[in-house]
Order: sequence, then structure tokens, then C-alpha cells
Amino acid sequence: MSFDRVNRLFLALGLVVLPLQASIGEDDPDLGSPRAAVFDSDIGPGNGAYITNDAAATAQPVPDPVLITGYVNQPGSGPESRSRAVGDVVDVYRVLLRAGDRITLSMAGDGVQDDLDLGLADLDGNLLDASAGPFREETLTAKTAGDALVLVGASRGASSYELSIGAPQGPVAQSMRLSDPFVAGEVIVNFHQEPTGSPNGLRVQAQAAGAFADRQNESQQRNVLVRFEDLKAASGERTPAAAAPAAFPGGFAPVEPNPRAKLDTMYRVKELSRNPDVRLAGLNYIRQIQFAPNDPYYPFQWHYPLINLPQAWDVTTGANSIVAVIDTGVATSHPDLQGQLVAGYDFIRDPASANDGDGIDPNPDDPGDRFNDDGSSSFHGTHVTGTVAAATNNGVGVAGVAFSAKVMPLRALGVGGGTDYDIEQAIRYAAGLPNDSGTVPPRRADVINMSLGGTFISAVSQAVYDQARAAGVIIVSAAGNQGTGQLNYPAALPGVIAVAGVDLNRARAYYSNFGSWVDVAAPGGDDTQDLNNDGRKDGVWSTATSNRGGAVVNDYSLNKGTSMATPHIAGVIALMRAVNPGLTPQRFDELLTSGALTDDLGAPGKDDLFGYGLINAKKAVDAARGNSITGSYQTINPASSNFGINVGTLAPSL
Amino acid sequence: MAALWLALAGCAQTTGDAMENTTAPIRVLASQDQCGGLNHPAARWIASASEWRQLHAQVNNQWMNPPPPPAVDFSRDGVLVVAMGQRSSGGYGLTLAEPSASVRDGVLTVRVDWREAAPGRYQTQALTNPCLLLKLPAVEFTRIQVVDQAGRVRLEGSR
Repeated sequence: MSFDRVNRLFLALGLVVLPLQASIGEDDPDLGSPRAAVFDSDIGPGNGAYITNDAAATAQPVPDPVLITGYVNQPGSGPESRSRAVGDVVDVYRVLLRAGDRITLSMAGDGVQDDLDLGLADLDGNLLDASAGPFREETLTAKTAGDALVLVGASRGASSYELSIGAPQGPVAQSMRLSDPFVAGEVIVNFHQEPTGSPNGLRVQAQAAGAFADRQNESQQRNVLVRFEDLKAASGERTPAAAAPAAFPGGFAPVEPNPRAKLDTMYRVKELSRNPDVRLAGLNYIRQIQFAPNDPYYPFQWHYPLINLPQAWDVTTGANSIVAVIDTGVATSHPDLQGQLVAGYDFIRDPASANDGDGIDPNPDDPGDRFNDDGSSSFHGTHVTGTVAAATNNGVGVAGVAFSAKVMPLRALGVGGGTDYDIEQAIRYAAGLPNDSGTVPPRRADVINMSLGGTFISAVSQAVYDQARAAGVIIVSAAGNQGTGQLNYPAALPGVIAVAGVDLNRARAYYSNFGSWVDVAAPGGDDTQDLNNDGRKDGVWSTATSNRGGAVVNDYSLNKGTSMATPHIAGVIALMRAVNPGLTPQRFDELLTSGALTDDLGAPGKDDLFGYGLINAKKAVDAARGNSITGSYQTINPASSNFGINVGTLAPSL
Repeated sequence: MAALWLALAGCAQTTGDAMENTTAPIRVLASQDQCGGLNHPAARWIASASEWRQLHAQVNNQWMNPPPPPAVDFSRDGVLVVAMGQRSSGGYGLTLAEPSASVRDGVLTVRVDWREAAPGRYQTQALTNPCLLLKLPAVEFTRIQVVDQAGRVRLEGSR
């Protein structure tokens, strides 16, 4: 249901409804599964009679998934209506939740003067979690399955709302959540320079409590840690500043003392945000050491901290994303890739090149790209696959960029390399488009990694890249290793992200190609140096296989090249897709060209060596999470990029 | 007994003068598309165990768990390193073409299949530096030449 229809309905009831800017509903393309449309029963319409739903005992049953339209208000707030005088402070819904369900509250109010909060409680009304920030959207996640109460409360003013319950869709909104780790009883405050002077003002009381004792001679204002216990002790007989309502609207509260203290702190932060002495107030969050995998060779993977990957892992590890790796296949026996793959395919038609005795077949296992079992096969696809998604924190081997994502191994490079036609079939399969295998995957890939290239291109090839992109797949490819301005295809095609390589010092790797067609840079490694003195050359470490002596040996190795840089980008895109499944190729391009995904290197802005700069995984994930909320990024200039379909031209050699 | 000694010595055979028309059987110790540190084309003779251990470790330094160096008795054998040098992609490689080397006029000649990336085919975009590590009897020679499948001398070196 569109929010316009909801507005018309509320207007018919005599309720003034503030417009929602970020509407959600059945019409939203991001919402895949159908959600039942339900009305808040104490506003009357839809199912006829008015039925109260203001308490645990009178909770309104709703299905899962569901999209609920409703209205709550504090007494005396909001337009003339049945509930204006007495208030309709909270709506309570009873729902059988599935683990991982996302509960999203979008309100018409501004989140400050007209502010709604979202709660999750057990059937007795004991609050389990709450999202209560000064924002227009609140989000909670069901950690376990079972019957529960979902609460929508008016902590201030009045507002209509939409409440969505179901499988996760889109990014998680910024807010204050009870389940977040923060110190109860403490608030970080940034005061206005000039105090109000009121004896009941927070600044005066905080000063009395000694909060400024160590900064008498400081000319610049800095954040102050305010402890409520100190404030209470210093206030004496006066009313302590920030004496806030300490409960969720309707009186819902946690059972345990610490969550009660945390909830109290959240509401005090809200109160302080409106204090005339205060410019900004926030929770004192407890930061954990960034996730560091226990994989024994992770310490050698300098290329992950270089792109801020550990910080990104604190947000997502890529669950539910699929990266198609079009390459030599994969060593399916590798211990560090177990559980990391979805079904793939072998698209090499020529049996001699396929080296597995037949043409195309459903087995993407890599038999080697040399005829002889002399150890000289590259097993290149195994290395690339490990960078994308090697099993991580399993106490074995190496880590992968998006280790909760899956790799779809598609074999198109065999003895002597690969052909346009075989690669085209692999692209089409990855994108869920008809292809020579006569089948498509159960779910198409989110990203296609092509750590391959050539200095030639056929005019007929562009169409398949356009079609895959139109299907929603982001394609990344290696810029090539001649160390010159040589165009490398498919990287240089419009619609394909061309990836250059950098070394440990973020300098252009000596081999990396360059030109206006380069879009972004990532670690490609350099095995001629050991700049970090870890006893190993500074190549890119990943899963590897050898057939030396005629036997398959699974191990780990360092390689270098734009082949190695490319899966870093594919993995980061998988992370972005995990937090924002609706991320389109076009939106990715917009974010990249705005600088939201990278650390600029070389000449300011886009340049020939690094494109838009070195990928920054944390920035990329944050941008993907926020893109549907803020939606404001720089305008792109398609002519300066090779992303856009039908933008630019193919090489003059055509 | 003389025949047995010949076999133990690696079956080097002289068809005429001791410095001419000699053939020596070759055993491939390793054939790799990644040979760490061998970034320039070269043909190099290894004549000592310490030099062999050092080179083998360097050539395999890309592996987290490198294989042990194959045993070589340097009292009677040596190792010929044939390095193609660094290449910008996959598709390059070396394969021994004939199972024995010839020695003529003090020149040790080894024939290989010298594979370049096939034109018009897409290649993996990792840098490669293919090499062959060959064990031969320590026959007498002063120079080395590596000849490809077309008869073209690709590499030259000295002992």
C-alpha cells in the first residue's frame, strides 16, 4: 500500500497526517515478499470497530510478514481526534516472529518534537529491546523465534506510522538501541559555549559536579562526560537536570536492573538533546577490539587492514551475497573453501582446453590448465575465490574479504586461456540469463569477478555485459599487468568496473595498467619486497593448489597482479549488497564517483592510476547502509567514467 | 660393472669425442608457472647443494608450505634452471620437449616447448614467471643454450 492511500484514509478520519519522506510498503521494489496490510485497531478503519491495543493483555494479533499502518499520540498532542485528549500512547502487537526478522518503524513525525519509539517485549510486557533515537526510523532485529509483543510508543507529540515486520530488507537505520553496548548512567555532552546560567541548567550542575574541573584554561570546547550519579549528588535540593522519564511509553520496562539503567540513560539522552545548554548529547558506547580472525595466516594478509576491512567486518561479513568467479574453476577439495561455494558450472566447450575429458558440464572443479601434471597449472581461480570468501575465523589458513558470502565458481579459462563465447555463457549464467547450459542458478549472482583480460575485444561482446548489468549484476575486472596505458578488456568496457593494483605503501603497483578507464584501486601485491618485515614477500595471500608431482596439494600462496586486486573489490561489493540488497549497479557507480567508497590517491579526484582511489571497505559498507536514508551524493559525470552503458566508445582497434 | 657405473652416473653417453656428441638424460625436478625471484630470462647451472637449497627456497617462496627440495647428488649431477622471466599474465609456460640434452663443442643444449599466451584468448591476470628445474649428469660443458620448439635459441648461459 502506498502512503498516499494511508494519508487519504487518515484525512477521512479527520486526522492530520504528516507526510512520510521515506515510505515503505507493498509498492516498494525493495520488498520482495508480500506482506499483509493491517491497520492499528484503535484507529478504527479497515476492520470496522475500534478495538483497544494499548497493553500486553489487549495486544492486537498480526501475521508475519506484515505492514501495519497506525497512529499514536501523547495526551493533548496531535490534531483533533478521538485520542487527542486522553492520548493513545502505545500500540501493542502480538506476532510470532522468526529469528532474524527485521522490525522497522517509519514515522511521519520529525523524530524529535513528534517522536515515536519502537519496542520488543515478551508476552508479559517485559521489555527485551527498544530503539529510541531522535530519528524518523527505528529498527530492531528479532534475535530468537517465538511469540512476542511489538510496541510502538509516542514518547513525545503525535505521529502516524508504518510498522514493517518480516525478513530483512535494506539497511539498518541509525538509532539508540537498548541492546547496543553502552555505559549505563553516563552521557557524552557537547555544551553550547554560552551557558544559560539557570541554576537548574545542566551546565551549572555539571560544573558543580566537577565535570569541567580539569579543563579550566581550555579555550576550545570539548565533549564532557556527564555521570548521572554525580549530577544527582551535586544538585542538592534542586531538581537534577536531565531528570527524564525513564521508561518506554506505556510503562514498559526491562526486568533486569542493568537494562533498566540503560533504558533510563537512553531517555535521558533524548531529554538532554532538548536542553538549552546542550548542543549535542550521546551515549557512551563501549567499543570492542575490531574483529580479528583466528586464521593462522591472517597476520600475513596486510592487504585487508589496508582497505579498512576489519572495521567493515564489525558491520557485516557478507551474508546472503553471491559472487560469481569466472576463472579456471576452483579446487573444490580445498579445506578453506568448504561451505563457501554454491553450485557452479564449467563453460569450456573445447575438451582439449577444458582438460577434463568433455565440453561444458556442471562440474567447476579445476583439473589444471596444463596438459601435463608437472605442477605448472595455475589454479588461479582457487586463489581468487579465497580472496573473495575463504572460510574465516575457523582456525585454518587465511581469511576472505566477504567470508559469509558464497562464491559461484564458473569455469571459462582452461589450457591456453579462454574465449569470448565461453566467458559470455558464464556471464549469462551468473546473471540468471538463458545460456548454453540450458539452466540458470537458483539465485543469480550479485557480483561477477573477472580476474582475466586481453588487449582485444569484439564489438559483439558489449551486449552481454549490458544485459548482465541490466539484470542487476555488478561486474568487476582486472586492469591488466603490462604496467602501461594498454587498454585491457573487459575491464575497459563501459559498464565494467576496472580495478588497478596498489602495493603495501598504497603506491601504484609497478605492473598495474593505467588510463582514464581505470575506476578503482585495490591491493594487488608486490612479491619483490617485504616492506612490513613479516618475513614474507608482500604479495596477496590466499588459498592455493598445486599439482606438483601429479598429486593435488592444497596450500596457501602469495600472488601478485590486478587479478588479485579485483576480488578485493568484488568482496567489498558483496559486503555492500549484504547491508543493502537493493544496491544497483547504477547506485554503486554513483557512490564510487562521489568518493563515498574510496580513499583518494594520486591526483585529487579521479585519476588515471587509481581511478577514484583505494577502496575503503568500511566507508563502502557505511555508504551502502546509508544510501537509502540520506540519498544525497555528488552528481556523477558519466563522461568521466566508463560505467555507463552506451557511454564512451570501444577501442579504436575495433 | 662398467655398465652399472654408467647407469649410476646418470646414463651420460658419449657418441664420439668426450667434449662432443654427448647426450645426457634429463629429469624434471619441477615445472612451475610461479618461480619466486626468477623475474628475468635465464639459463643457470647449479653445482652445489647449498646453492640448490637456496634457489629452491627462493623459487618456492610463494608457498606457505613449500615442498622440500628434491634430492640431488652433486657429486655426479647438477641442476639446470631454465627461467622464462616475468610475464604479465597466465598462458606462458615451459615444458621439457626432449628427455635428454646434447653437448656439442662444449655447448649444452636443452630443448623445450616455450609457450606464449595464445593471441585472441583471455588470460588470467596474475603475473607469472615460469621456470623449469632440470637434473642432469654433471657432464662437461662451458655454455648452455635453451632451444624452443621452432629451433630458436631462447636462452643462453655459461657454466
